[in-house]
Order: sequence, then C-alpha cells, then structure tokens
Amino acid sequence: MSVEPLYHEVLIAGFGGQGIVSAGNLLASAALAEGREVVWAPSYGPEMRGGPVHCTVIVSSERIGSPEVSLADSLLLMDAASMQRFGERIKPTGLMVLNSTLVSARPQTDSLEVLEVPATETAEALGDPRVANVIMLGAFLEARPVVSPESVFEAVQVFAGKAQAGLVDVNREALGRGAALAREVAVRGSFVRGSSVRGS
Amino acid sequence: MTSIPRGTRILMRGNEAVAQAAIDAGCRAFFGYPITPQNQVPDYFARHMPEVGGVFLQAESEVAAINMVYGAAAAGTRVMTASSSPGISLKQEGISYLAQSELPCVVLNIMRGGSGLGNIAPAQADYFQSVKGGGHGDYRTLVLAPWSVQELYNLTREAFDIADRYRNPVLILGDALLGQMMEPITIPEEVVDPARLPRKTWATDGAKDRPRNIINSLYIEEPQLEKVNLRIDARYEEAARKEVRVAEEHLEGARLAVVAYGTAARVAVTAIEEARSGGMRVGLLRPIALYPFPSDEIASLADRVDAILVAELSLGQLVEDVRLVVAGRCPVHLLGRSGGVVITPADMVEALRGLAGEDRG
Repeated sequence: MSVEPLYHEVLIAGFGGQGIVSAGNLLASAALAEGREVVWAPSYGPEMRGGPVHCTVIVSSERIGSPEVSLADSLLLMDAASMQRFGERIKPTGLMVLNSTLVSARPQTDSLEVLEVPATETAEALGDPRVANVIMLGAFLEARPVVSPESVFEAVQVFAGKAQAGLVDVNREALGRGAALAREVAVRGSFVRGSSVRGS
Repeated sequence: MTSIPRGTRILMRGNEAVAQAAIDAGCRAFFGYPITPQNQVPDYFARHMPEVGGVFLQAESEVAAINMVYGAAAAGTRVMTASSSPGISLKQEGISYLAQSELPCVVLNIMRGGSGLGNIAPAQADYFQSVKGGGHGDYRTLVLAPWSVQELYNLTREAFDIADRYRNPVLILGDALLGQMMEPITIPEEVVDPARLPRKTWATDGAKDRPRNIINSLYIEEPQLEKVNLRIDARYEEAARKEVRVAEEHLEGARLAVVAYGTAARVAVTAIEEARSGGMRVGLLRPIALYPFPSDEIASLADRVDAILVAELSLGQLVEDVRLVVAGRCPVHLLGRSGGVVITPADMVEALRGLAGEDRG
C-alpha cells in the first residue's frame, strides 16, 4: 500500500471507441488497489462511438474534496479534437501526453512537459488498435508514477475476465511499449518542453 | 443477497450505490422511466432485483411509475423510484398523493441543469421543489443530501427507515456528478431481510381475519381533512426534532463559514483547505438533511462568525432558508452557479477572500 503523499488530477480525452473511459477505469482501479483515495468522473455529454468523450481521475493520499477537475496535472489527449477542446485545461507546469499519430497541434506555452507518443500507430503495429489507450497510460505512468503499471495490469486482468483472456497479453505488451516509448522520446531529447521541437 | 463484494473497498458509481443500498434496505420494488443522468439506477435494479426476487419494472412514463410506487407502498412493500429533474417534476402529483395517503417510499432525484429540459450536467436547482413540497397541498418530503458515493449508499439505506417511521416520502437529492462518478465504497455485510421488518398494520395487504384498511387521499369533509393534515404535520414536527443532520468542519474559532450541501460542499472542502493554508479562519457547515432544515445550528453559527457564504449550484435557493434563520445576525452572501456549471474551488477562495477583505474594512 502506498503511503507517500500524493494528489494528482488526470484528464483523458479522445473520441468514443478509443477506450477513454476504460483507461480512466484502469487508472482508478489501480489507485484503489494501492489504497489511494480516488474519484473517477465521466463527461456528461450524450456519448456515442466516434463522438467526443473524456473522463477525469483524481488520485490522492488524502480525502478528496472537489470531485471536478478544473486544471489537470496531467492531460492525456488521444485525438486532434480533444487537443482543441482540452489543450488549456492543464496546470502551467503540467504533463501533456499526446497521441502523436492523431494530434499534430502542439501547446502554445513552453512551461508544459510534453510527451509525444505515437499510440495509435504503435497499437496497430501490435495488432490491436484498441490498446492505444493502454499505450498512453503506460507512457503517462512512466513519466508520472502515480500508480504502478503492475496495478494497472492487475486491473486489466480483472476487466478482461475469463471471456476475454486473449486481451490480457496484448494489454501487457501495450503497457510496456508505452513506458518504453516514454523513455525513448525522453532519451532522444524530443521529450520537449515547449511548442517548437517535434519528435522525430 | 446480491453478488456484490462486501466488507471491502470497491469502486462504484453513485447511481449504482443507491440501487444497491435500496436492495440492502429491503426494497423489493422499483418502478422507473429512463432519463439521464440517473440511468445506471434502473440499469442496476434490472440486473440485480431478480437476484433477490424483487420487482423491477420500466413503466410507460414517470407518472405511471410514481403511481406504481403508490400501489406497492400501500401494500406495505419497501419501494423506490428514481429520476432526474424534469422527470421528478412529472412525479410531483403522485408524491403529493403518497404524502396525503401517509405512504412511505423513497424517491431519488439526480439533479441536472434546468429549468425545462435544461441539460444533463450537475446542478442543485431543484432545492425549492424538494424542500418546499413540490406538488400541491400541505405536505413536505423529508430530504437527504449526500456528498459522496459512500454517503449515497448510507443515506439511501437510512431513507427507507425514515420513510417507514414517518409514513412519508423521503427524497434523496443528488446531482449528475455524484450519480455518475465512481469512488471507493465499503458495502456492509449485513442486509435487511424484508420478511423480518415490522408489519405495517395499516397496509392493504389482504383483510382476511382483520378489519379492512383504506388507503386514500380524498377527504370531502373539511374538518376530517384538516385532522389528517394535523396528524401528518405532527410527524414533520417530530422529524424536525429528531432528523436534523449536519456535519461541521473547522468551525471552531472560524470567522467565516461556508454553508453548502452535496457537490457544492465537496468543492468547499478544497476551497476551505486552500483558504486556511493562506491563514483565513474559515469552516464548513454542511446540511445533510435539507428538510428538516438545521435552523438552530445555522442560527447559532451566525452568532459566532462574521459572515456566512452560501455556495450552491443554483441561483439563490438554499440562501433564502439560511437568511430566514440567520435573521440578520450576520451578513449572508451567495456564491451560486447555474445551468450545470459547477463552482470551482478557485471561485470560492476568491469569494472568501472578498468577504475577509470586507470584514477587515
């Protein structure tokens, strides 16, 4: 059980079908398993496949007051529309994880930490485009270890259940690939602060 | 017993926690009609009511659903309905009939932005409707306002006992955020077996070997109706003595107090923490029951603080009741947002700073 003080607000956004809500669920379940306080909240809009969707997760070592996230510590954006919609909903020194396969815009401020992850492309290379969300999670957790990837993986196993046991391996791989991509871009120096530099 | 894990922390949506709590309280009939943002409630009942041999029925309308509640309550069953703001408006006629007929039931309102069709975002704009009657006539609903998923569970369970005790509808007042968010919750092991609940001697559950009972809200003779209304009113007076519930934080030595319930009170916790770390002496008074209203607690608070800030997701409803009991003892200010816009902690800190500055001036 984690004991060190922590308060982290995450906003995950994309379009219906990208597993935005599931990514939030996995993060929230991992936080619960680690003994944290957690609030998961979905977007209120009428949701549909292909339509805009987002969710927020607050992970904390203390009781959580406001369940609503105004400015996130970390923003995980999976498509161009959500970059447009939520690009500003982040604290000045927050972390922005971008699905660089689908998001070409970059933030206009140089105080943010920006992690460019070709999540969709990598998921397709892994043979299952559905795991792009877990690649994003893996990258995020490498940069901000608010929960351990093992706890996320345990949540994946619970979610997949016996009926979808085939999903477990590809999700394990996706988590690892996400983390590796985060390390890679950091090492390559394209773990940029600011708007001008682009990943290769 | 339903298949949910008990006695251990699990993640659950607010709407699902309410439904589970109802089943655990011995509720064996749910009648509803779909509306966002409470749809997980009927969804959960549809899946889990059959596990305990209860009735889940999706009615043809809200009006039909509330009248089915009337029937089940008259037969002595613990019964519930749920809806969201516009749907609750449709149920008001039935709620008035239930109150006049002295029938216990639990009604959940997961409030959304209004008026009219409004939107499906969180709001607290049904405060007046909830605490002032709602439908026609000389009645009240007893109103509980949880602020977390755990409290949604706990208060829903209690609501069934309160409804039976006062033979009156009890309203659980939540909002789109509380209903749809997930939080850790521990569901207790022990559940109510409806077969072991005290028998409702007034219920119309078959008159074999006893005089027949009549459930009715029609009293043509004026003195007779007044007599019934006075009997019901005496129960509200008893509730005012026994069912006031408030929670207080940091009020000892506070110069300013926030009065807020539900989601607005959660925002207040974050704002107050920040304001206090900046040296401001501010605390929170949170009504958990909205009716009966914590009149004495708020009046006494007004004697101790320099000013009160009422924070609500509506444009000046709760603040009216606060001002009524404060009666000029201290200034009462309003921080209200509407239409599904949620107050931010930053908004509230700014409002508190303004009040602290005014106080110094």
